[in-house]
Amino acid sequence: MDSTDSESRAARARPAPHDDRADLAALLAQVARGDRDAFEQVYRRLAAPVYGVALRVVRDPAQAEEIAQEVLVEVWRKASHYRPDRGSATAWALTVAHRRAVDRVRSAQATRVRDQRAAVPDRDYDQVTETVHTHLDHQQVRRCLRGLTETQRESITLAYYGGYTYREVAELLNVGLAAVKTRMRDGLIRLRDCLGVQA
Amino acid sequence: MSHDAHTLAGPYALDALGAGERHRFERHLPGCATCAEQVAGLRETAARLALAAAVPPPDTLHERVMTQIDGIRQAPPPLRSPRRSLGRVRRVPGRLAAAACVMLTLVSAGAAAHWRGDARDAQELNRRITAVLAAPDARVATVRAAADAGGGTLTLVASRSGDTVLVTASGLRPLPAARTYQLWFLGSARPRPAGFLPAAGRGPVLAAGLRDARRLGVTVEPARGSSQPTGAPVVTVPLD
Repeated sequence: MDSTDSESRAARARPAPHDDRADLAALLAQVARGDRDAFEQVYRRLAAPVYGVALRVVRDPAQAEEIAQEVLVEVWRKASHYRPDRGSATAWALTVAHRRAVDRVRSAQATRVRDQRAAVPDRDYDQVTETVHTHLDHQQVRRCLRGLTETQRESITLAYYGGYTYREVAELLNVGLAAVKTRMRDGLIRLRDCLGVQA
Repeated sequence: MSHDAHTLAGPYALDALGAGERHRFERHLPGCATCAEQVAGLRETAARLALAAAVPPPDTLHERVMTQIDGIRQAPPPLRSPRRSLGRVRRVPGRLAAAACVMLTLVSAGAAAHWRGDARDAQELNRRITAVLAAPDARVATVRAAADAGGGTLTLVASRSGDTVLVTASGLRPLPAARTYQLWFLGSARPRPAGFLPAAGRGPVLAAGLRDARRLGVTVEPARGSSQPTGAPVVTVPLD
């Protein structure tokens, strides 16, 4: 690969900074009018996190690429459906990407014996926790995750990166449903406050 | 499920609900402003977890996506759902919402018949009525008419920015064919004619040219109308 290729790839892969919320919303408005150049810029901002989160959940590059393609084409197709008053464009796209990835993992797993999986809770448990702590390229998220209690962090990473339902998480961690729901919510709230997330 | 719903906000934002629970939670959301607000914040937070997982995708993805969108027809903007439109109306004062309902009922019951002759006129009228009802500065007032006018009521929605008043009356004493209820813009200057109330049940009247008028008045006049009121108003309604 020559340097131009790797530069253009790096440019396309650059994750979205967090202060460009209005910027991305404006780009989406242009995309909604069929502006291909605007979509190119949207791609540059969203492709890496869309692909990355899909990869983290499905653990298979080919499937992650399929999901990313579906989601990004969906962004092109439904740009006019984005409502800035309902949240950031980044969250809009990444919510779709994450849900697609999770749905795919669950439908694939539905064909397997669920009990067996639940009895062997190591599918990604250690690995997930570790990747979260070693590969996050976002310092702030890493720092804020460290600020959660151990049980909050486990519940959130198993659900979000592992694709488990909260019922499965409860089973994996051998705790009650109410406790898991509370950990997820309280953990996210603490994370939200630590990250200074604006709804 | 309200208590349960609140505790499900975390799992929902993480996509950690099963299909059934997810569906139930999403049906609950529109009616629960607190939940919706919390979910929005938690969703943004979850998105940060996705951003933190960003990985440069293979170059093939870029090519595949850009090629595919060439053949894709974009979806038109969604129409606002009826529920959301009602939400807008709910935000205006209750009396205005009630008046809007009255007006809309009259529009559907009366205006169509009144302007039956020309569908385009009816459409234009409906457009103008909707514009007044939707104006950000729309104000509503209802006043009971004097006893000698039959004790009916006059309801109006006024918009200064739209320079228009929408007027409807109910229960006014019916007049002989030679007489009519005439509307006036009243203020510091001489009364200005503002149109006529149609016969009962015939729908609302749009009166344009509000300008600096402070009140809307109704008098009984000869059927062809007068250039100035010939008697005392049977009812006046403040416009502000």
